[in-house]
Amino acid sequence: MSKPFKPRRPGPALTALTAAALALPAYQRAEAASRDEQAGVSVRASHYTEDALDRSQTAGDVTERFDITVGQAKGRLPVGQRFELSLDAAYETLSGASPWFIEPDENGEPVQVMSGATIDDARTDLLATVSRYGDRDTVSASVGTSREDDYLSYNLGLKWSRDTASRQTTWSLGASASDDVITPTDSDRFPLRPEEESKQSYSLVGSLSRILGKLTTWQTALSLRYLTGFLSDPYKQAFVDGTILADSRPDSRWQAALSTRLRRRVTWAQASLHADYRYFVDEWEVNSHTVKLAWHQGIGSRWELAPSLRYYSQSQAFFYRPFYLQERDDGLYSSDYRLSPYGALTYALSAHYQGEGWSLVGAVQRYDSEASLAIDSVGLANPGLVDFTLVSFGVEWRL
Amino acid sequence: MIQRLILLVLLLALTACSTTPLKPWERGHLAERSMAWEPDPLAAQLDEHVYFSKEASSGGAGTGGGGCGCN
Amino acid sequence: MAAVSQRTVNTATTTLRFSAMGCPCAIHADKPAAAEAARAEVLRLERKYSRYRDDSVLSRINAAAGNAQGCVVDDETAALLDYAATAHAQSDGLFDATAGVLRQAWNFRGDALPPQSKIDGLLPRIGWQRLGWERPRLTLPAGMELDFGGFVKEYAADGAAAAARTAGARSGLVDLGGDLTVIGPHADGAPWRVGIRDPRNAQRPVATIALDVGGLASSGNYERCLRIAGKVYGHILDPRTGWPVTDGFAAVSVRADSCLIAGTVTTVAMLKGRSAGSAWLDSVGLPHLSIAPDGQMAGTLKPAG
Repeated sequence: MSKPFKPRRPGPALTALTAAALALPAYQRAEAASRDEQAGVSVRASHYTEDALDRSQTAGDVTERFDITVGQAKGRLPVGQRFELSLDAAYETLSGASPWFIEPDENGEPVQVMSGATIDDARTDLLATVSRYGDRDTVSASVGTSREDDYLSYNLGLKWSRDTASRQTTWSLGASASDDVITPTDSDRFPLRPEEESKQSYSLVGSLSRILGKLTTWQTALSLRYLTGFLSDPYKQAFVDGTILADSRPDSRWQAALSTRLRRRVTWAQASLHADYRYFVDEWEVNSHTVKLAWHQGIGSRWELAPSLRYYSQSQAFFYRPFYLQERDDGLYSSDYRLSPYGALTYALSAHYQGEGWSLVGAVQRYDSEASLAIDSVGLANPGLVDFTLVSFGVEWRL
Repeated sequence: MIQRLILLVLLLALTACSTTPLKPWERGHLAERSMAWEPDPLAAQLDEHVYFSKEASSGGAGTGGGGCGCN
Repeated sequence: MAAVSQRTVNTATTTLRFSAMGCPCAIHADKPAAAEAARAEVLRLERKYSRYRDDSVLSRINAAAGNAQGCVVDDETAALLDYAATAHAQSDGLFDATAGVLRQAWNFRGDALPPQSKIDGLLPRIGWQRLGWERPRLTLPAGMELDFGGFVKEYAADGAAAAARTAGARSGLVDLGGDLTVIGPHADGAPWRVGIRDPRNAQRPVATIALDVGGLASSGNYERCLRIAGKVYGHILDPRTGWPVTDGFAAVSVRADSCLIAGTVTTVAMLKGRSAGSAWLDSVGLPHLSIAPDGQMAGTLKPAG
């Protein structure tokens, strides 16, 4: 019978034939940065409820926070030989109360004061993108808007990506800008709220994606963003030496994020491992680390189950305090939990079913944040840290 | 310490360049849905929005456009 | 030739059977639309490179034989000509796309050998080195003709598998008369099991090969041959002599990343005969299985369980 196969070096004849074969279109088509040749529509409904606050750390009766429902839709249409149009829409309704300010109790412990009335708001996002797929280059341009009762934003984006000749590496460069106007509700009743403010943001993202072998891909990206204008939260206030002042932040903010992502196919398990890391730093002295691991387990040809774990830790903005015992020289105040030092864990599980020309996805996610989860030790924990449970369900059709 | 670690990771990413090019027929595994940077774009968009509205950080490889009223 | 043993599969697999390029074809895929896309690719290449269609690219090239201007060919044809030129060079002239004119002398359905004078008359019309190929222009001397039959079926198997993958198939196999390209392994990751036919008993597989990626090509001298005065004259013709290869293999199978390359290596091994063919298979370095006329098997292609 035949001898067992021993792998060996390819001979010169094989090298020459392989080089000639590679020029044939049947082998190149698989390589081109190709668009999806089928039109598609996907929709998704998600609901999440923020946990009520701890009554012992809350002043007053209201401990309930936001209840949020989000509907999303995405449509994609190939046009002609090279173009693709896509449209993203999202509609979000939220209702509930949000943290207002923090005061110290008689022991000097922070106590959260909630905004009294229930807030109802809705947000509508629209984003239209046109992309052109060349042999090695893909260029896309997008225009979008986001609006709420008290907020209107327009944004523009451009992105260019290019494959190297060997198609092992893809470079991409993107730029975007947005212009936002904020008109806080009830500014006549709350003298600390401004009537109308605006902010602008500009971002630049460069990324490098590489194929590291038959089973591994790797991506590194650097994004820079500059925000200018009204960057405070008009609905938040700060306790400063017995008086309540408006949340007041610097009017500019540089941000930088360095991220890297790894995808590894585990053939024996019919699974893929995702590992993501991001380092973020900004001009307000916030820096953060985000690590996300996900395991996409295929089950048969149609099912996929993906558990994931995300860890996030941030340091505080330089002007943040839960409350202020004396005035600051720079006049900057914020007790927003989002600028406080803390860490958070997200546990998620999603299931995906692939049908003929359609697919279903369902997911649950639990987000828990704690000051004690932060990398650095935290003196006074912000009592307004948020925890929530999110469930979502989606359908996709390929037309 | 952490800064040094990040530098190391970056350098690794750049020096991992000397891999032999894959032939088209060797790309089957990479074409799997679960090997995409974001297998589920709508979920990624929602996550990004939720985290953006609840954390001080934003930005990264997959981000762009959009925004919300939350500062 | 190889045959596919349809394993009981746990997925909804479509099988499309049709006839193209002069042989029975089957496409197995986990998506019906992808199987259709694969068949469309096979039919496209059959139309484009058929010897029997006046409107094919190949007929247009052959019609221009003797024309000093030659004709300008498209990119895909140019890449195939480059490939044929490479195979010709690497095989010391044995792999020759101009050897098809020998069909005018040999009739393997008949019962007589052709007269040597007839073969001698054809030999001057054979020889890849005689044609002018300067991309994108091909000039063919009068009396010569090209035949892509030696590689277009294997190329079509690869092209069909690529088309199926582009159309979303993750699992499947293209089988063009025994030339195989894997679209993707079975949904549970298990490889396709394909049988290699016994040259002396077509019904019985002589070995079963596990194929999870790439292509497998086989060539046998048993399908068409002339038996005259106790001697067997196989249909594999040496382009240098115009006569069937003597002391050749009964069959050779080669496994490669692409069916195209597997097919070329197989064809050259058959043309070289047993001793030179074995050395060629070893020097190329691909997994292979050769069967001698007495049934003796040799090679590095590992049979599955």
